[in-house]
Amino acid sequence: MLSFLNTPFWGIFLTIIVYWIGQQLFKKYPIFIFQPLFIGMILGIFVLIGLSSLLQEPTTIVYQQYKVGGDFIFWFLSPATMAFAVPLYKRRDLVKRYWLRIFTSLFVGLTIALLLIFAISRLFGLSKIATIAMLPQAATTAIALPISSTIAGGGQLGATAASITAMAVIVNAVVIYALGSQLIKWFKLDNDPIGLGLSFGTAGHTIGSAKAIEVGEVEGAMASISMVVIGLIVDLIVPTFAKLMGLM
Amino acid sequence: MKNNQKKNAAPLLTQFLIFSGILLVANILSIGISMVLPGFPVPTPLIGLILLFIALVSGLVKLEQVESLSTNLIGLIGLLFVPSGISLASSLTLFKQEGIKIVAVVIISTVILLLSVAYTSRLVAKISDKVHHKL
Repeated sequence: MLSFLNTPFWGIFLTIIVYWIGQQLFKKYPIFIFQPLFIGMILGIFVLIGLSSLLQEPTTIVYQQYKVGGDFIFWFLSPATMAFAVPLYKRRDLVKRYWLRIFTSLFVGLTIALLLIFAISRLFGLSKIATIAMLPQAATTAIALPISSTIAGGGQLGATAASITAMAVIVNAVVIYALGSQLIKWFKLDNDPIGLGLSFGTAGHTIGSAKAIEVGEVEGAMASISMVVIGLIVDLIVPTFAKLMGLM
Repeated sequence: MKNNQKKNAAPLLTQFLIFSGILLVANILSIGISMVLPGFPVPTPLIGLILLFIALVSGLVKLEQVESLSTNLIGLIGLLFVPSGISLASSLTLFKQEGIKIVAVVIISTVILLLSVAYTSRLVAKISDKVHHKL
């Protein structure tokens, strides 16, 4: 009877129910820690760990079973990422007017950030695989994971790097969600709507964009534009950067 | 935005067809690029995004043929991230060893990304203002 765990139904249901619980919690208690994605992820991991000790099977096996269904949901990230072409198209007037500023800001900004992130990873003594996983975090998941996996060399190492990058992208969003308003105040980011939008889209991805929309329309549009353009720039410079730093 | 003659959304099947068609072409291109330039991954969704944008700008695809599916998918994006978050369960050993350090680095990195992009953008604006004044 337990063989139902090997079918996609199990993973699909678990993914949806933990996210749904997260959403209900968040509706009742709108505190940043109850962000549905974050709750869903933690709950899901707990269920799998609980299951593995209940069945006395290693977590990797239980995870492999979950993954059969989880992959179905994960697959939809591809069309969902592609769907960002639509908001980009709707605000193509802003893209046309500011493209040079958008591109240079993100290109130079990401290069500086990569150097600092690499230095901090070294300072904290992160292993090579974790350091690699830190580099593509400016891109959104569907773009960041394959890059992380390829730099780490694919296979099992690639999967490990990708899972750490996945967590990094989620934590980025949680940090921006929790501290966004304070960061704007502390660093006086609201003097520059374009810069605010670009930086929120880069550091906080989709959730950063939602936060930027709360500040203003230009800010929101710039954030969704930057999410797309930063994906492209991460793709262009992160593998080169990793090679230069001897990580690849 | 407030367009009075907003056209009706295309049937769901048409929207699926456009999405899956573009993703297929994007995947073929992605495989092609990885054969020419191994070690430089260009993810399929990224190529798909660029192709859809080009298709919209060139008029090959109309907005009403992709808009409602796009809005729905973007609305569900949090859910779609859940499996990649749960994938952490597969690397718990590594996470037990350096998890706290990793989380600390990610939190600092988030602020680094935010500030380096925000301040670079401000600098770029200042420089371009100066150039414009000279012209």
